[in-house]
Amino acid sequence: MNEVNRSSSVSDFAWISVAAFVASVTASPASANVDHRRQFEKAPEISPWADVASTSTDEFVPIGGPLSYESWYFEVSDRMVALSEKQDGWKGPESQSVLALAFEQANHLLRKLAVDGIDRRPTVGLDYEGTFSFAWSDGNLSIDLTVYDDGTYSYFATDGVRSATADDALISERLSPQLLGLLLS
Amino acid sequence: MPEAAVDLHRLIWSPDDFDGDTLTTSAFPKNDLMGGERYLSVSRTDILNADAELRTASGQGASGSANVVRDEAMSVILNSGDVCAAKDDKGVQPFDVTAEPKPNENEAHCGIRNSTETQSRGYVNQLRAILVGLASQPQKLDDFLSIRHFELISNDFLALSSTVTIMAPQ
Repeated sequence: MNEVNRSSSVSDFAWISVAAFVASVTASPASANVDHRRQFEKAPEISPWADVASTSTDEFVPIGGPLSYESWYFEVSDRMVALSEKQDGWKGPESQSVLALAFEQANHLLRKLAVDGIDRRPTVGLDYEGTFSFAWSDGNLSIDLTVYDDGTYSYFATDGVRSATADDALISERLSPQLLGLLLS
Repeated sequence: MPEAAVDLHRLIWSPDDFDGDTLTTSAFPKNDLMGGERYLSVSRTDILNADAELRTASGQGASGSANVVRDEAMSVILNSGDVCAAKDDKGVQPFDVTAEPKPNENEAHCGIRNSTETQSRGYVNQLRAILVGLASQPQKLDDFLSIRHFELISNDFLALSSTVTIMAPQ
């Protein structure tokens, strides 16, 4: 019974998130009946990222500029929703389904990455504990980042020369300059 | 400890450990890299038993994982020497490979262990990033086993042919 309730809450949350996002996009007078991804490019002045940007960085993404992060954001978000539907035991006896808070926090960090101009798509994995892990591997760049349901994340990042690591960085705070520098390199 | 030249087979039986065709770091569970008694299960390929690998792949499906389909099980290879020689950002070699044979079940079973005292979250992230970088391109378990079977037959044939002297007719 617990498994059902837990799964439902994640699923519900996912749908609510999607609905809220669509609502924020379609609030534009010019956006009715238009694919939201295209509309996002055409009407960035009411960008749904605005609330995130105001809390995560002083410099907003160039409005009207090339929003190259769009495609990976939606791909990654879709995959997270799909993984959120896993039940307890999805990967053996110790594996847990995704907690609603873990989904929320991971989605928050994901938006923050997009707003900060990261144009590299991470791969998304689901850990036994029901937490999401994002990874980037491209040439010498190698990053593994795990988001926890308590609003923190841990990571290790390196490009073979520089490296950055943290055990419990706060999602509510800015990305560390070191991590951001590696992701933007 | 297996010799440096020995390859290690890591069975990835959950398709969710792939994002598209790309192996995710979640294929290397954090708990298995915390050190102590925990380790990452692999099998040395030089004495690998195909039936044992297939049993493991099928057995995981029977252990409560609804979505496991044996046909979707994948294989990646990590070289034992490369794993042991890998260094973290402090220049420390964090991994040991130990033989963990399971009698009558899987004699080839080995473990990749975090041999350091460090168990912090960020450090485990680093270990996973290292392992993903060392892993070969994934291939289907069935394909891997078929190719290996062919290689074994070829090796046997070569070994046999080198010991046979063909006598020319008098």
